[in-house]
Amino acid sequence: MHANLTRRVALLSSAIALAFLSATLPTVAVAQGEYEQTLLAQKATPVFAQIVIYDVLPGREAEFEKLIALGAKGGAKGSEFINDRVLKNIDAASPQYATYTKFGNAGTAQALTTSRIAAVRALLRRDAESHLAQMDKVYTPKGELNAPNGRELGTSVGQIAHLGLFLPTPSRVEDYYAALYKVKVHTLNRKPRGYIGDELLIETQRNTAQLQAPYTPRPREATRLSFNYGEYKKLEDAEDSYVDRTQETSPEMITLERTFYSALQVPNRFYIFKVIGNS
Amino acid sequence: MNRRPTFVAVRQAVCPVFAVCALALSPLAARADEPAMMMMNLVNANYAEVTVYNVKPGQEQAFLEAMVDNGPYHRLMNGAVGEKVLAPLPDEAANGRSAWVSVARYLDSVTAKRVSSARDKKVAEFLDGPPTRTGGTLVKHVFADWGWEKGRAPALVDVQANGSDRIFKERLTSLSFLKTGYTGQAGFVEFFDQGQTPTSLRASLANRSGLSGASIYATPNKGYFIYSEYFSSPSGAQRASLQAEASRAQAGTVELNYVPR
Repeated sequence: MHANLTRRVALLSSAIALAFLSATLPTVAVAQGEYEQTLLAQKATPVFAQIVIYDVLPGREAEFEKLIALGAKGGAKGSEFINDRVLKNIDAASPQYATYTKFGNAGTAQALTTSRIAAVRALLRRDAESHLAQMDKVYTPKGELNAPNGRELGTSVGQIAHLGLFLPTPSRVEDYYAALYKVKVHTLNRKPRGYIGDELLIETQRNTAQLQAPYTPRPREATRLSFNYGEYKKLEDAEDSYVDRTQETSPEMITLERTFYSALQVPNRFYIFKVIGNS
Repeated sequence: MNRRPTFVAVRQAVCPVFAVCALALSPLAARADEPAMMMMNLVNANYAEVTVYNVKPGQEQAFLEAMVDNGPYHRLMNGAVGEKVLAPLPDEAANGRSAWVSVARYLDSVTAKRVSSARDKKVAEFLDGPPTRTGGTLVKHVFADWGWEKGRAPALVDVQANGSDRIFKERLTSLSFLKTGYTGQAGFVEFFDQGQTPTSLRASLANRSGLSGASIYATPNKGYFIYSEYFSSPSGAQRASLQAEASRAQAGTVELNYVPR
């Protein structure tokens, strides 16, 4: 009887351990370059986003804002359109904008975004930089969501948004995402003041380096862009969250931080905007 | 003493679960970012080089790529601390200022020379003429608090290299000026050949309401240069006035902002 009970307890404990491991560690080791797909394939209802950066001609900002405010919904029906955010550089001397628009399917996202970019092209000093991505995870003060619906960050305007673009090395991409997820959980657990949320997205496929970085250094190895979009009520809130003035240094933390940055092929870009449109 | 088999089995099976839980839930496992240490390195970098490049039209992206490939980003050079590369502001070109500017911070001038001499050869094909370079020793940094966001004049705090680390422990100022990867903001380089002192330059910075931070450097010929960044940069008229006060000046948008990986 003791032996039977021993086996049962051992089996139950192994199952618990496996379940815990599968929830906390990368699910499976897969062929190089396919890891991002294993992350995205877990989403039952995928949410797609078009991220577009516009460099507007000086003096044409008002015209641009008027046109871009017409929105991205177009003829999209029902769940095809989810949310559209218009972002403006916090400094008026830098006439740079971005749109961050979520859709229920990739085809609608691309078609409507192409039309929208064409409508404002004459107001730009260079072609817009455009990326199609799929949502991976969302973090809000309520917690972490592995299957986001794209509406978690609400519809307010006036808050500060940050948009980060990262190009990891394919052979280091598992380490990269492991470190990224830990950073976000860490942020969440600290309950930062003014925190609205963070959204992590992954490019839907390996595009050409020219598409991924039209104006900045390009990756040598084919990879997928990783995006980090986040919002705080104020820039001061965002910075106080980013720079923890109370924490002590630790070897573990340095290892993770170095892992994250060393996994990148080229320097990352991190833009700060104000949300001026949200529908 | 013989332990009961059930207890032994439970202990042997459950211990690994607790071990995994403890590892995953420990404070260290949840912490993965330490920007303050990188920021401290930037504060303590007491030498800088400002290099002005006249990039051939259409070669801008290739120029940036060559700058990264042949600079300290991919190299373990402990003396190279960080670099920002500025593209000309769109409206600066109309004023005849269309150069790209690198502001690179180092621990010593020897490393700076190593980086520059090796890189100059690699970027030459993208330039109209050789770059112009000015090196300087740090006088001080000046950081602004959040007055800009709060709608009042910002208070400034002076910080020396290898001095107090209070700005990293207390919320005295913004640290945006030191954020690696932060791009799209306006940067401003001003050179002063003569007639200025650290006190007069500090006073000039105090009048810039949208200031984020600035670094003042002394050059070997008894001049100075300032590199500054803004949440809300000086308007056209104010910028023109500041540029007129300097021997040379240029505003730009930060396109690259990195530390060696």
